[in-house]
Amino acid sequence: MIVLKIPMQDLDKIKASDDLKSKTLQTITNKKKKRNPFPLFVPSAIVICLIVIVSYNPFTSPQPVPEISMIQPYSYISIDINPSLELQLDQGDNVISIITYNEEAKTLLKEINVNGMNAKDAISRIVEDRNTENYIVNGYLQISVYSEDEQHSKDLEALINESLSGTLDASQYGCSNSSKSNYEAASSHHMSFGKYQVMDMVIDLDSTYTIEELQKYSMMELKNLYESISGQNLPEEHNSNSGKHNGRNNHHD
Amino acid sequence: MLDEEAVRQALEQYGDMVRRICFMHLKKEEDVEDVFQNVFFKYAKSTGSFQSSQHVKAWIIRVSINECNSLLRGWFHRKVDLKEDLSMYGMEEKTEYPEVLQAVLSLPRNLKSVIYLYYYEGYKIVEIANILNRKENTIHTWMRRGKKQLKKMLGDDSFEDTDAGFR
Repeated sequence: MIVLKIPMQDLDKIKASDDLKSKTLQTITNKKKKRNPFPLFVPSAIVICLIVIVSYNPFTSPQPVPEISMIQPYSYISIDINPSLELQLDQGDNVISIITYNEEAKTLLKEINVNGMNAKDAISRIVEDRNTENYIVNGYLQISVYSEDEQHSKDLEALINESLSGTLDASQYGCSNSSKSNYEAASSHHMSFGKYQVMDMVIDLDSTYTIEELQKYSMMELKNLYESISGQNLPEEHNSNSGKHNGRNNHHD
Repeated sequence: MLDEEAVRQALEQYGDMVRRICFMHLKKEEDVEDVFQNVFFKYAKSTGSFQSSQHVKAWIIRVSINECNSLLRGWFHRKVDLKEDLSMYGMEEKTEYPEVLQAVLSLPRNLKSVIYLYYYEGYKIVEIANILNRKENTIHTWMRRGKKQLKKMLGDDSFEDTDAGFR
């Protein structure tokens, strides 16, 4: 039995005023009075559109179905929290393959299967998993999006931001876009491009750190490191400027 | 479309509840008014084929939360940092536990909806899952996460519960 000490009874004081109620009733009555001058126009237009669409439907004629293995990823989402992984998506934003970058990610994906899911659902599934929860409460979730189609990349980023804003506090996650060179640089280090982006920013501020050294940091540790060096919060948008640290081999003295 | 009397009754019966849901999610009075009117306009336009008053209530809750969410998805509401200040509701002196209310209000949208429906409206997890059209496990996760965040903000003594005790 739950004994709740959090007093929600303060909400009893929130009332809809009589003014709001009567204004609402008035508005509804007015809206009801406005009649559609062309009552048959909209349904007729819909029927005509449907006929046109059906007659040109490409699915009515046989189409070659591509093999799964033939589908090239159209966009990529890296997730770091500390499970570190990359979702590869087709043009319809469905997950077609997943790359894991650490043991935590492998463990997570043993429990859940997001293959074939829509990107938004896949991220929700990962974020809402019980195993991920502790990382989220005590850590920081970094999501980065990359697609050669920049508009698509931005749309995907907006979609993810919208989805996460409903579940997580703004201080618990960051979502950004990544550049092609950053993506390629991260791939060459066999690491997620979201984490690489933040590491790149740390090295920009303090070149004594190396990629190899920072690779061992969790996302939260990287975020804290960046904030302690720069004296400011990790920016929400941190597009890497062209992965200039590809192959960087500096050493921390 | 429902007649005026049915809408008037719904306003009397559920008006305060819709206003509370708006209070949980919105910060501007004009937004509250928009959402409030949209909810009851949608109710007026509905076929009225509800099975019970509980069904009406659940439907109105779902529509209210959805309306708040769609309004908050707009560019302006995503970019502008709106005030989390109870004084704008003229409530700060009347509330017994303003810090608690502030903490609940500061939760992400889905978490505070679940906390509100469970603790204030008294719905069970399975009922909340139906209202919000989500899986039960998702609601359990949100509830757990919401409570963890509240404990973080308010201290461990704020709850006296066990996770196993969900209804």
